[in-house]
Amino acid sequence: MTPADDIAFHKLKKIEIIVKGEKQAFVADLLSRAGTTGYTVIRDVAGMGHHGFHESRLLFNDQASLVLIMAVGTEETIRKVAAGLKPLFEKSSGVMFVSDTHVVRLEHFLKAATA
Amino acid sequence: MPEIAALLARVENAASLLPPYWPLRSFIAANPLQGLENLPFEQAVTEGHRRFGGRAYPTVAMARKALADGKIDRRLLAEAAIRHGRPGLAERLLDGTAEAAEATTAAGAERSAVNRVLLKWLAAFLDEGQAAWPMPHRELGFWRAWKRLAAHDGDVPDRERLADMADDAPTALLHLTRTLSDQESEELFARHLAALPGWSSYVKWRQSERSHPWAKAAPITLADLLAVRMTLAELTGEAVPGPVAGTEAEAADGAAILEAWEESYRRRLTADLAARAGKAARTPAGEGTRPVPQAQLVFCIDVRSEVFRRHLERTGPYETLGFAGFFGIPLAVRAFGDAHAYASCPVLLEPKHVVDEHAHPAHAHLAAKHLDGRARLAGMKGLLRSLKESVAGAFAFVEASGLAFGAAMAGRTLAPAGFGRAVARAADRLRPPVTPAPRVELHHPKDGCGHDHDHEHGEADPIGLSPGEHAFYAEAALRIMGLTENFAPLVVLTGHGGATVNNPFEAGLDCGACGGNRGGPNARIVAAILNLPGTRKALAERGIFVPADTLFLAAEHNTTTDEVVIYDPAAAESRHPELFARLQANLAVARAKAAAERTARFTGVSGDAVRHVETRASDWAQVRPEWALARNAAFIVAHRDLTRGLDLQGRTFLHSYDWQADTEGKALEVILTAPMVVAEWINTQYYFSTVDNTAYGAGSKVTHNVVGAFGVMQGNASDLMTGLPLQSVNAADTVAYHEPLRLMTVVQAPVARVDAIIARNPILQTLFGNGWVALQVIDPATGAIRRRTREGGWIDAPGADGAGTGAGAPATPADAASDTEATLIPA
Amino acid sequence: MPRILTNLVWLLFLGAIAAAVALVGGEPVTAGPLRLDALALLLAPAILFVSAIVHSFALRYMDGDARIDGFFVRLTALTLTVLLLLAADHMVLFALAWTAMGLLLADLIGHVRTWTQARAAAALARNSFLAGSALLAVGLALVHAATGDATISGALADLATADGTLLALACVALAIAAAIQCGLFPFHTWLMSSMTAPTPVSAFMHAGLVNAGGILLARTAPVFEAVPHAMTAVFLLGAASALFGAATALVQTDVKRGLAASTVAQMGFMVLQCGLGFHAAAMAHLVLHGLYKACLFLGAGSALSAAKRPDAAKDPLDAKAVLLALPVAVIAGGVFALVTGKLAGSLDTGAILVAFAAIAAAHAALALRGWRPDGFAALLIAAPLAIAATAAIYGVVVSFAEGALATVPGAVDPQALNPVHALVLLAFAGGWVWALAGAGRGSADALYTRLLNAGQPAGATVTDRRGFYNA
Repeated sequence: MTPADDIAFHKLKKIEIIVKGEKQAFVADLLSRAGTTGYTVIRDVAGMGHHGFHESRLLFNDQASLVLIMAVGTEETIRKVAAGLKPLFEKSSGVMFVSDTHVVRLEHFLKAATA
Repeated sequence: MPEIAALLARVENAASLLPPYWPLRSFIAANPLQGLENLPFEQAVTEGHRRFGGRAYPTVAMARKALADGKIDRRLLAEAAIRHGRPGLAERLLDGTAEAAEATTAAGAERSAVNRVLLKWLAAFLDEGQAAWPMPHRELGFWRAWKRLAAHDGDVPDRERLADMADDAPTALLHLTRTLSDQESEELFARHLAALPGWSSYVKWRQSERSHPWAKAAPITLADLLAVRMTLAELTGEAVPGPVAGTEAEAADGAAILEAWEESYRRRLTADLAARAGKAARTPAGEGTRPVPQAQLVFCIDVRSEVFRRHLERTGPYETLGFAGFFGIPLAVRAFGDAHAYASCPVLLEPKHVVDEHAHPAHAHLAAKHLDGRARLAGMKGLLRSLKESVAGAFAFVEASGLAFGAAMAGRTLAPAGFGRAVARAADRLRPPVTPAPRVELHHPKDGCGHDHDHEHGEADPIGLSPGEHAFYAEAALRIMGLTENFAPLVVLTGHGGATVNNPFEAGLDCGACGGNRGGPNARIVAAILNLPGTRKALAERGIFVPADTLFLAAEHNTTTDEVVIYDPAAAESRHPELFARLQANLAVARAKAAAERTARFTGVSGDAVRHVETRASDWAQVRPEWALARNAAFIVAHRDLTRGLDLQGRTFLHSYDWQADTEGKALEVILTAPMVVAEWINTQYYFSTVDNTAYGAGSKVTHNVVGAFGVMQGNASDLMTGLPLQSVNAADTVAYHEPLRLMTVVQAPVARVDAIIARNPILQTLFGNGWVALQVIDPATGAIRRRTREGGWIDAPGADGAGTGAGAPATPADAASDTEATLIPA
Repeated sequence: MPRILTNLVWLLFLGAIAAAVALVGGEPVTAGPLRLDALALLLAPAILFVSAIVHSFALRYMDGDARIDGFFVRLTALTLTVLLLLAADHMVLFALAWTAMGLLLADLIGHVRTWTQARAAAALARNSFLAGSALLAVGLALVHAATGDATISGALADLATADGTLLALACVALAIAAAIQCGLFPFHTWLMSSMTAPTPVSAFMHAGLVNAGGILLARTAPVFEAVPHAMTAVFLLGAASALFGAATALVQTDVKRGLAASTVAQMGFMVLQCGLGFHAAAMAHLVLHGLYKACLFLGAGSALSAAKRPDAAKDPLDAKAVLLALPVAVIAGGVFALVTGKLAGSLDTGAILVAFAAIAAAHAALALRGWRPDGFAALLIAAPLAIAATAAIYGVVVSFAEGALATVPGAVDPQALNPVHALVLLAFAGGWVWALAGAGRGSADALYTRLLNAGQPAGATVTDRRGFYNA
């Protein structure tokens, strides 16, 4: 038996959120309130969407450039996050993707929610 | 609970109506209607009136004066009036009947006991050092701390009910809105936030500013604010006021006046530029080498730079450039002897690097003495403050020190300049001045880098920039400003800052691109990077060859006195003694000229201009130390050749741009999406502070009352007065100085390139498409000037035919829809 | 117009200096209802100095104001009214000048006519001043009834034969009139609501006009001294305000209201000095506080520098602190007593003044504790020296005032110490130590909230919606 066989995969949900830089703080708060234990941010995201092509060239404007925020948690946690994003996207542009994912060290991704 | 997540999103949405308001020490311009920029201008100002009771357009009195002064062309006004269905407007303006249609600024509501209680507690909670005994329990957050103290507050009716409310603000808020739909809650939140818009805006800033020193000691969120306000409203039974009504006629008159005024200015500017552009297009590009100037001076794009640049260029073979005054590096600076770093870059950016300063080698022997003296001065200040606040000690202190205060008062009032110099001399004796020098190389800070910048900087992290970063920023800066060849022996990066005393709006005179700080430290840092042999080598590898004898210098332009101080003159004296001596002399000549131009803009000033501006800068009674960015109206992105020699009257932001060196449009994209956005903030702040100084401005300085060491109120207590004070936009109570015009951007580049950039940047589509900023493009090949319509079409710019004002088709949304598409010209 | 009036006030200032130099020390000069005595000669230059500075300051500060001529006319008229008040000997003239002063000041508080809350603040001040004027008129009428004299100087000379009950009633009326003018607790609300005034008006108000209450007490000092317990009552009135104002000032978060609360305290201290029988010292306090407060008001735009970081360290009140503070207090108190001769004879109310000087010195020493560069040992020597020198200056100033006003009846008339004095001193010392050690760290929620509310301006004078500010 190799060490790799020993590893168990735990099923969780992953959420990827793309918003303008000015909304990053709101999303970060939302994630933390919902009970995610951490998140990853990628700045200056490029892409094509409803508002046309968006390229990561903005050297001088963090507020208007897009950020991608990724987080993993239980379905319940991710639902809370989505519940907070849905009304947000009524007023400001952004997208979210939710998908199934697997993690190895489950305890790293669980914590009590404050909301 | 998912409900809470949704509720917080509703709060966030409701708060998007308000701009964040920065503390006065880093006075940041903001469009008070930032949250409405997604609407066309005309709708946004109407909505602004509904929400904030603010006036939308210049007043009839302003228009009448502008008409009389020839600033509004009468024919253009007649055309605009007809377009808006208000014929005869000019006549009505002149005979005084136009006032009838003009509603007075609606107070819009009844007195509010809720606001009074809220003002009291917000000021107590948000205080950043004014009170000797700060509000207890602030570390719990606003809602919880308030709940504890309100239990003792006789102004809060039925306060025993507070004990039943949730400790968590969002939970309490959820309870308060339990009977409402989501949309109803959001609308109610918006109204509650608009009840004290200035304070709400400050809370919005505080909530977002995680690195603020008070963020942990006194945390506050918009949900806290709403929970307190809505609880007070429930306990007192006070209704939150609904939107204010406006009149159609007033809006139509106002829109016509604004468009005519703008058009009058724009056509004159366009005619001036058209003459230059045509000539430039007729001369074939790259007709041999340009002569190398004796020095190149890079100034901030700030409108105040234009005046000085124009005068300096007349003195000798100097080339001047315009670039955002932080010179392109998102920096936090830890100044010499300071414990903490401060962000010195546009607020659009998070600082990504920390640079600390040490004493310049030539002053190293004074460093210890300087720091000792500084500590002594701080100790004295602390002693005075402590005695003032002493419960039983203040009485004898007042008697022992009264004469000294009296003497200081006389000196500051009767001989401000002399007194200022004497105080500076005394301070210099105690604390010998030390020129700082930045440490731009990556290194480990000896004694921690401070805690106020938690952006990925721990104690042990190295600070400074790596060689790769040096090269990256050096190249970006030079390319964006279009300085990639033909380097002069001296290249002076000139930051700027104002000079004023006893003025809470002091930071408003400093460099906006440096986050409301002085630009000198940034200039020093970037010059040091550009002088590193490693940077020069890396630049050469990237195709930018800086001659070995080119020396980058740092300087600071004092925008109040027009003095330009060059840091580290010794280096320049040893390398290029003659050039440098001549430059210094010419800077003095330019200064005198610029000062004379400046004093002409103040009323009742005579005598030596330089002395006058110096007195003004040091006078504690002076409410108008300088006009700062008043009358700004255009943002020109072009090579200086286009504007050199033109008197632009200090009204234009000038950003250097070389369309030939930027074939991919990368530099232009940066310029339009960042510096231009900041220029729009400044422009709209001036616009709205002028058209309604109560709703959008800060009111008169003479009744200002600084609160919490971060903002001002009017009189005994009021909303936090955001925006510019009356004296910054008006020459007198009833005489506007600023001309409230929206920004016009003029870009010297192929239309197709501009179109492509707009197409990939929603922020530009918003600003140009909704009429917040007008756009004209000068085709470099033909010299033709085209104006973009809001719908994205291009028409010949009115006024470009040199007729100045006249029959040219006005580009307004009403009639611009059917425009010709752009003629695409290959770059 | 503004320039002419400014020059006029400066000329008056020079004239007042000349008059003071020429006439002080001599017999009072009487001319009809006017009487120039040492008190008038000492205070006139001081008040004119502040007024002239305020005029000069306002030339630039108020530039562009729509009603600038009216502003300067009122400011100058107010100055002249105060001069008249100083020189008025006839009771009717004194009362008229007092009333005119109040009306002009109220009008300036409401300088911005289009601003509802400024008008409300003006109305509040006007009503307070009119009540004060009525009480003053009643008080002077009672003195007149008791003595039969129509001039103040005449009445003071005839107190020995006057009716005690009438005089006692007069004291009540005069003391309240003075308290209203000084903004003493519990009549401080008009003062805490007066920040709708343009800054130069506030400067002049706090430096020249609230003081009139002290001038009234000094002018009528012998009346109070003739009534049993009246002096102790005045002392208590002042002490209450001094404590109240000092405590309220601690919690103020805006600069101007903080200064106003401090004025409540300082005026309280001035009245306290009157109650101790040191009217001359009170006049010195009045002048010096005027200079101090005018400077701080005119400089109110510099208040951003008050910003602190939340982690700013506070030095503990430990043994080291006491070791430093105690000797400094003793030395400074001793120097002050020596210079002013306050403890030379029998133990009287002079001891209270010495105690306040000693507390201030101790406070200074404690504040210097954090002055690290010099080290504690250096501090042990330097601090007492510096502070003793300051105490000497303070002593010289008080002695000067006492000397200059020696001819004014009741100017220096120390009272016998009584338990009330001791209790009040104890209260101050206790409050001081508590503020040093506890306030800002403890969580006296109820006290904090009460102080915060006590310093609030009247509701009608708060601009509780942005649109109401309409200037």
